[in-house]
Amino acid sequence: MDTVLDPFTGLDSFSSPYFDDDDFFTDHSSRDHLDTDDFLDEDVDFLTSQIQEYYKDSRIAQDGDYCDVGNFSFSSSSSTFSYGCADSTSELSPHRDGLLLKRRRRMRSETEMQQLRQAANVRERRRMQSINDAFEGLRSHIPTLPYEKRLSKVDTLRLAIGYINFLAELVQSDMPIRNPHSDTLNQPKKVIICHRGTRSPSPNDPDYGLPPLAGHSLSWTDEKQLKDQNIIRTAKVWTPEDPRKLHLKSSINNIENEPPFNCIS
Amino acid sequence: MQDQRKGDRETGLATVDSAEASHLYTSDACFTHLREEQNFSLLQKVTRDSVRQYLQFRPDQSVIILHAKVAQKSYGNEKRFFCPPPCVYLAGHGWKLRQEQLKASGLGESSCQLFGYMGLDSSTDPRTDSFKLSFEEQTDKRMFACAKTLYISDTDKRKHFRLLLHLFHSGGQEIGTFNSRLIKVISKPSQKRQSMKNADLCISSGSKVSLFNRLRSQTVSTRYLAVEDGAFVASARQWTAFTVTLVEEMHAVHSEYSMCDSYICYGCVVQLVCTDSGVALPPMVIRKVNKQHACLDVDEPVSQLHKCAFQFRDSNHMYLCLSNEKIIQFQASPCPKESHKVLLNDGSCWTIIGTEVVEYTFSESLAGHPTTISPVPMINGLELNGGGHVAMLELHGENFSPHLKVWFGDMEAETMFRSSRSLLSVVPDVSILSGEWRWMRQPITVPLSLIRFDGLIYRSSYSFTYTPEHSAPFQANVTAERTADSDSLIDTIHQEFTRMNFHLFMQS
Repeated sequence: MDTVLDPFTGLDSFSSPYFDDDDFFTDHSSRDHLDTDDFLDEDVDFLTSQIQEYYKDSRIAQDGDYCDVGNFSFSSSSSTFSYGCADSTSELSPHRDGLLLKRRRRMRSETEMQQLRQAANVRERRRMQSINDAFEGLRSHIPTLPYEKRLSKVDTLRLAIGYINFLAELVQSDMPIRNPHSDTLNQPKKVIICHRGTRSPSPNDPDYGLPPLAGHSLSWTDEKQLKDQNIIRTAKVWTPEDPRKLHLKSSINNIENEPPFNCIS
Repeated sequence: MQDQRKGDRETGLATVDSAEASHLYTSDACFTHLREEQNFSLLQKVTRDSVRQYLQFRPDQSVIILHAKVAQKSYGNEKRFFCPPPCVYLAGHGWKLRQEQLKASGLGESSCQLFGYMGLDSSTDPRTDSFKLSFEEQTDKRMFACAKTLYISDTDKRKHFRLLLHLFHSGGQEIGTFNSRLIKVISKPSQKRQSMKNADLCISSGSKVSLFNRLRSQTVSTRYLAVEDGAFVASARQWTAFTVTLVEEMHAVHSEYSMCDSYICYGCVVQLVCTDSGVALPPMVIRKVNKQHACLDVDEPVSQLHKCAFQFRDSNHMYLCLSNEKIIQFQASPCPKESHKVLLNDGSCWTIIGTEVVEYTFSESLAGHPTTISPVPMINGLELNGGGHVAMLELHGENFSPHLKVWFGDMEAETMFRSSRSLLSVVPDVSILSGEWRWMRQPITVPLSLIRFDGLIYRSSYSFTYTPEHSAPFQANVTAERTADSDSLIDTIHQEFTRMNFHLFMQS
């Protein structure tokens, strides 16, 4: 994704809704509060991951749980991030000026602005906390290597996708886990018999800890057919002698007749 | 639990009144002697232990019938004896054991011998219009006999028939009646180019054939290609069935004859492998013979009773040839007038004919008294159905009766008689065959047999395999006692995922 490599262009395109939204700076919205929150969530979430990704890669290993957009906006020297500050309009791209001018018409007091800022920060923190909790939940379901550090959010998502695919394939193919390329596909329809009567495994069992058997698949062979094929495969060649060459005795050569045979069973 | 059931049956039989008990056997004529003797001890003999003992030593008795697939009709007074002559082998150490058993039970030495009659299935009395077979023991301990003078008259209008073998103890006690496969009646070998549509006259790759050589069409001079003590011979007495197979390399050269994939055509490279010993002749090109000449340019399908010659591949016209009882190579001389023909001698012209081998195997080791073996049930195919908690194995074949039970190894399966061509059995749980199923992490293979009520065992060539399945089908039945199982299962999946997706972890 280009936006990951260049968070600034990403911001340009995705931050515009905030400035379009007239009710952004007020808690007494005429619109449904939840709707607005949801709307914001999507965009902020996306931004967060991008910003995190960017900072993680380029700067220091940031602890994802405690960094939110609010922190970034205040710690960053670049005013581009400080979308919450209405005064930093000078560095924004010109096309947004008209919108901001419109907003300026509704002048608010300094304390009013601080209250709004605090309320927005609280909301944002709560929102991030819920996302982080959900990530923690997802993380706990993903198998990791024993020495692996705690997964970052992006790795959590990436591994989750891989793991779901893996499970889906496992269910679909119904293959033995250990040897996925076994020759069990030879029989057209596999009939599996499950055990009757079950009991819980105990540590004394010889196979405790091994995955339990799903059952036994049933098959048969015709030994006569196998024997016939085997006779052809391991045939010893007996060559008759040519009476004109008496010194050449007829002999048995132990030749494995493998490829030249066209076995039809 | 199974033993419990067995016990129930025994006590049940002991208390049942004789009228009801005898009713069990009246349905089948071959059980009449059992009813006369009212001997219930016979039934008690078939236990898991006794079957296990049988499986360990396998004292089987086999009746093997070899015969040609086609027979030439005899017109008027002529008698065209079937060639090669149908022959019978009695194999397996069960015959000797049975003989000793009978001797021990007080029968004289002579009455323990065997003899038989072989005739057409149309014959009314086997003892008058059949060939009497007297068996002789060979060096390989098998008993051998062959019916040299059988023929089919043109008054018999059938297109197919069977041979019947009646086997007896010298005392006159019948062992049983055994059928050959169907034999096609032909008037004379086809002279026309054989069409592939005429499948039963063509010779397919992988089928069995016999080759014989007849000087000046004299029956007495007939010699059969045979294998004795690992060497090819031209025997006047015995013949061998060979598996004829196409050698693949030839397909590249004759790629336009894709039909050669299944049927043997002249010009193809074939190999003859002895069905008994596995000894083979080197790859040879099969050539059509016309008036003692091998035709090098003929590519039509080989047909029954055609005269043919076998040129050793890559040789300078060396041909398979007999010289008295020996098999040698013969140098054919080129034809001065025709470049696509070579001149052969008498010994290098062979007649080819498709053959069948039928084998009946049984064991009387658990059957106390002499009984009639036939009709011998034959299994031709199996079919599995069900799965989950109950799997059913259907047996397709011939000569099934309600007196038969299917046995998986030493375990009797619940068996339902559907018809003389179909039996249905419940596949026994693997835990019954070998301890607790959960520990069965190696495949288990058991032989399939049919055992008659009186203890007669019919061994089949089939074996049945239980293969452990490690992948759970992710069933939703998560009961309380299964949670431990699913935990360890999830662990395994986790391990497998991290092992297979190591690259995902390396990225971050």
